[in-house]
Amino acid sequence: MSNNTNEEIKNSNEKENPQVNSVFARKVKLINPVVYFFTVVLSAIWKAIYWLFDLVVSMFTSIGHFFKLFGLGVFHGVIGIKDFFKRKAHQFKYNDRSGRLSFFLFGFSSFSNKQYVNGVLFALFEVLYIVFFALFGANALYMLTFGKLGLVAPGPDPFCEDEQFCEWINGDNSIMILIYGLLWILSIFFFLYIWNRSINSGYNNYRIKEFIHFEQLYKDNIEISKKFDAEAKKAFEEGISCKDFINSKKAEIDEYVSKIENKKDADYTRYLLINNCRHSYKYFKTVKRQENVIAKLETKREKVNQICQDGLKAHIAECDEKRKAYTGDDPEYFEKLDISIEKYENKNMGKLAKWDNKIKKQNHVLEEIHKRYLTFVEIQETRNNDKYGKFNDYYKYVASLDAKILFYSHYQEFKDLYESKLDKYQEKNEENVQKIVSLGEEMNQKITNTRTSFDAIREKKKALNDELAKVKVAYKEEVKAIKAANDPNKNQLLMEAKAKLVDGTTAIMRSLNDLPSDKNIKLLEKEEIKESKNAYNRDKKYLKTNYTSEEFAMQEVIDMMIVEYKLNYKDAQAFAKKLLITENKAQRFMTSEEVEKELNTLDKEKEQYVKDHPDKYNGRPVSFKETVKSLFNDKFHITILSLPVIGILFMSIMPLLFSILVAFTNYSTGHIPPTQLFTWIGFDNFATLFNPPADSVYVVLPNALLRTVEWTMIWAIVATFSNYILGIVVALLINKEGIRLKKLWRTIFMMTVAIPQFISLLSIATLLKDTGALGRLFNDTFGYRLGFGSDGSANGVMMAKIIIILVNVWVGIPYTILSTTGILLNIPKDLYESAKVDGAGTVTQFAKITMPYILFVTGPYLITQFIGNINNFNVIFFLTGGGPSIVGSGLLGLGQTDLLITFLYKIVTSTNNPQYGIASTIGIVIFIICSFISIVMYNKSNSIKEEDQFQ
Amino acid sequence: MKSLKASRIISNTIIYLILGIMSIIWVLPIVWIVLQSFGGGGISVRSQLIPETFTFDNYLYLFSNFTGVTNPRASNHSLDGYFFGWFCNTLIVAVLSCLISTLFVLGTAYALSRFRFKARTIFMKVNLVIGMFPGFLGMIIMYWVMRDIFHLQGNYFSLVIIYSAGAGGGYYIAKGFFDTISKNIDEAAMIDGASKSQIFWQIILPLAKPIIVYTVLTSFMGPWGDYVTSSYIIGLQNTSNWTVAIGLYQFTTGQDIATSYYTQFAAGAVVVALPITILFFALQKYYVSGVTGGAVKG
Repeated sequence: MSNNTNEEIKNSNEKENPQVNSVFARKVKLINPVVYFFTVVLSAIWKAIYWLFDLVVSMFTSIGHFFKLFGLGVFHGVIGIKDFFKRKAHQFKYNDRSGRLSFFLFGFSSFSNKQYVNGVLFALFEVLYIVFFALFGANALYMLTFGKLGLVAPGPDPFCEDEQFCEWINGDNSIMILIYGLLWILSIFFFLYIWNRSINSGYNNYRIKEFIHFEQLYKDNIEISKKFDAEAKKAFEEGISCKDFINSKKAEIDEYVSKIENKKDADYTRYLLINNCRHSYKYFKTVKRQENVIAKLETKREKVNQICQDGLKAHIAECDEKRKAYTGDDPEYFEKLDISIEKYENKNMGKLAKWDNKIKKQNHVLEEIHKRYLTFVEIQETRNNDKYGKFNDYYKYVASLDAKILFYSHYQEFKDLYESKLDKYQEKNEENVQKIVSLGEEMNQKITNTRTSFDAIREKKKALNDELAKVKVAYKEEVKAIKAANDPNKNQLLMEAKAKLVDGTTAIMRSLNDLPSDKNIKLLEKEEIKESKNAYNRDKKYLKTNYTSEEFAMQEVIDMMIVEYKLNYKDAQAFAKKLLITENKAQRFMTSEEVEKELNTLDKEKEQYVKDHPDKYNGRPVSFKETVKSLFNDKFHITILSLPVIGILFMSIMPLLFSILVAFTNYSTGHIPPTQLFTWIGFDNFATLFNPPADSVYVVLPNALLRTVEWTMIWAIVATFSNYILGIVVALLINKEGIRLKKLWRTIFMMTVAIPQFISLLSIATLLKDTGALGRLFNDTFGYRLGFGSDGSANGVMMAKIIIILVNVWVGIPYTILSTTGILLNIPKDLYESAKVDGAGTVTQFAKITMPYILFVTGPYLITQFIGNINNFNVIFFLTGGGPSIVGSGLLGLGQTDLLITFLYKIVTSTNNPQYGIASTIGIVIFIICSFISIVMYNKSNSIKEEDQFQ
Repeated sequence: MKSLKASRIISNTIIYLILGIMSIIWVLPIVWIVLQSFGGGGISVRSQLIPETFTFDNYLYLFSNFTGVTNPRASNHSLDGYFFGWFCNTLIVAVLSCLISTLFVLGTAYALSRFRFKARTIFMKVNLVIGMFPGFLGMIIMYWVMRDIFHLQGNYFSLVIIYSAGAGGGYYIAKGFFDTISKNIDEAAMIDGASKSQIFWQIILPLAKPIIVYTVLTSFMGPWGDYVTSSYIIGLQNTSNWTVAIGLYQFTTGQDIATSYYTQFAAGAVVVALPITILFFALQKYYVSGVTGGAVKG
């Protein structure tokens, strides 16, 4: 048992830290081969059992998880809908008239706030939607539900008697009814969305206009909110329930509110205070709950600590006894005992650290709760500020007036500067030319510096390599000397020499590995040189050498405005243009009277504006132009996502909903539009699949389907793992040091990625046919035909399956090689170095270092591959087309090598017996299988969890 | 020391041997197809690894509406003179849907990488769930939508819509790439007064060259080699609107055709595979970086 737990700890260590592997590999060398073999085999068996057990457990937990997720989804959905209507009610209650009216007349508030384009769009949408719904939508929905997907089939009029002169009735098309019904259902959601937008825009306009009013309201109530807060804490500690507490406070709140004259304000204040009480009470409850969690964890930690301490004591006592009883002469024995005690201590520490970590996390949560705490009124105040405060134009406008005033009051100064700089432009040009030259020199200096530094690295590398060669030569000579000397303990000496060599080389190799490879040195050097060249070009761009006289003077004025008067760049440029005014096609400066006049008007404007806005607020709802502008700036995601989302909605989600709906209809042979109708039949298709009536043609279907599911799963597992492992092996072979022509090998394997799959698979299929070259070859050598995809005997089916998997390897390995090569090159080399020094073989290295590392990184990739293989249509369809077929039809053409997905394709495309209802049901089954596997795998995969944290 | 060297030589030889054999296995079917495409003579060509006589007629047959070459072995000439049209159809479909889906994928990836909005997580989760459904199932409805709503039945433009409209869902790899581009660049540009759309077009896209090439390449190769969707949507009756995949599949499996048209199939396969293979190897660097990034990011 203790062995097992050790193994378990080792496993968990390996997952967390691949470096442990090298330690393990070092140990391996010391044990004798037989023992080593058995430990490896036993540990492998134990691991397999553990893994299987873990998988089963995680399957059950995943089912639990699935239902939990589902339940949570429903719960949140219900709560969300409730909150939505609550919020709408609130928005209706505390709103002005135009805001309330826009609940019914879309865009009314927009009209009354001069957002005419918005208003027209809203109103137009409402009118058009209602008209179209009345004309078409109602009928479409009626046909979808009560119309049973069509009442009249197309054909000759059933009530006429003379067949020759019968009128042709166009009738209903069930498919179209289904599609339009679905579209109208989706359109209702869209209508609700626009409705919500209209309400929100009305409410926002109201709040933007009333920003100051609400600000004052919140500020007035902050004090009393704090008082209630304190009382809530008291009440909570005394054990009074939330409801009782609020009821007890109602009288006080009413009294407080009755002093407010404005009825609307009074109402809102009451709403604020009551919610304040509830919010505070809930806060204390959460804190208490969190504290309880921490306390529970702490008691558990104490318990674990106690157990650990007891265990340690017992272990020490045991060791002491062993020490006393020991009579052998192994000098390392006592050391070993000490080490075992140390190990035990470490284990204890690890266990406790886990608990400490948990407690720390929970404490952190508690801290966060404390940090974020504000009373309800305070929260509303900050929200008001964040959401509606930004629409205040007052300060912006005053600032712009101030800047203008500043410009005109310093007009004379700018003018003087302009005039004085008019003839200085050539100096500036020359100066800039000079600067560019010096920049060029600087760049050249930098490049030479880079070159010398990289040369130094190269030299260092060369020196190290020389040293390595020297050590090796010395070793060779030593070996020669030993062999020549013919010493009796020659072997001992040889071993020592080898150990010395290993010691010498590892240090050198390590420092060599720390240096970048030759290729990287070249790349880095190139990059740095490029970077300094880029910097030169960048700086050069800002040094203009062809200033004209006016340009230069203007530039100087702009610089002065920015540097001395702190104007922003945009304003400065705009003002600079006003420095000279054009009159009769000639430019001139303004006279001092004109400047005076400008200043006067500006002063007056500012005075008037400040007077008009005593509360320093001028909130203005956003105009349509600003909305459009924001669609290219902070709401750019709406612009850029709209088309793809519409595409996904109509081309992915809608077909999916449609096929779910079709699973509940009898859309199949005998019910094919446009000449026939189909209708709702409930769960009959599911019954046909899983439990068909004894007299129907589909009696054998459940068994056959089960066999198909079985083969699909086997196929997915074998195909995924064979590709994965073989791909990694080939990638390792190609990337092994000393193998040449790496590029050529990679290119050859890339062939099957480059060539479209239908071509490579079709040609292989042609080759493997009985008439094809390989089929003929098989026939000539073995004396019987291969019958690939046509021989229905057990042997032939087995053969077909094996060939399919082999061909899949042919097609699929290159993808694995592609995606793992980069990862293989990124595995830290010192892991291998230390393992090699400790004598771990290639296989051990692969099993203990390479595989865990790659698995760790490519876990998610493996899952997607697995799902992809369940739905791998191409390989099966082009190779065998699902054949050999199962004799005794009524199975919808199901073949022996059919996967669920190719079976589905066959049912759908079959010309004489299409069964769309059953196909959709199978699609749902595939979905359930895929999602279930995904949930299980994602639950198990560590890297996914980490990526979540990463996000 | 000597033994170490010897063992290394032996192991390297074994590796070379394995790689050599595997390379032969990998290349052989392709070589066979190329040889067959030049094969002349009777029906027995199919069961020979190397054809007895060589001819260029198979290639000329593909363009028989210009060259007038027909297949002497065949009794059924219903597919003569169509290949060039199929090739053009496929090219148009692939280029158009490649352009649209590249735009969609990059836009979606950028929005999901750089913006935080309410529907973001919902969108990502829904997209994950959609991926679990077998995509082919949706074709039943797409057939009817194309037929009765867009009136595009049997028209290859319907394929463009189907291939590219839902492409935004495959944003994962591009998003992973955008996540690795530092956000400081955006912030610096924003201080300089650039809007978010300018940042996307003028700053992020030039930096994302590898992923653009990868997206273009994959979204071109998808429609180029697709059989399932195109055969269902176009239908087998509209011969002139087929894509090369449908045509070549008919060459190998069609009734009355499969027995006599395999050398023509081989020639067609070479003509179809050659441009895409050259394109692929020219842009291989970017493809590898895309796949590797995708494998790590999931």
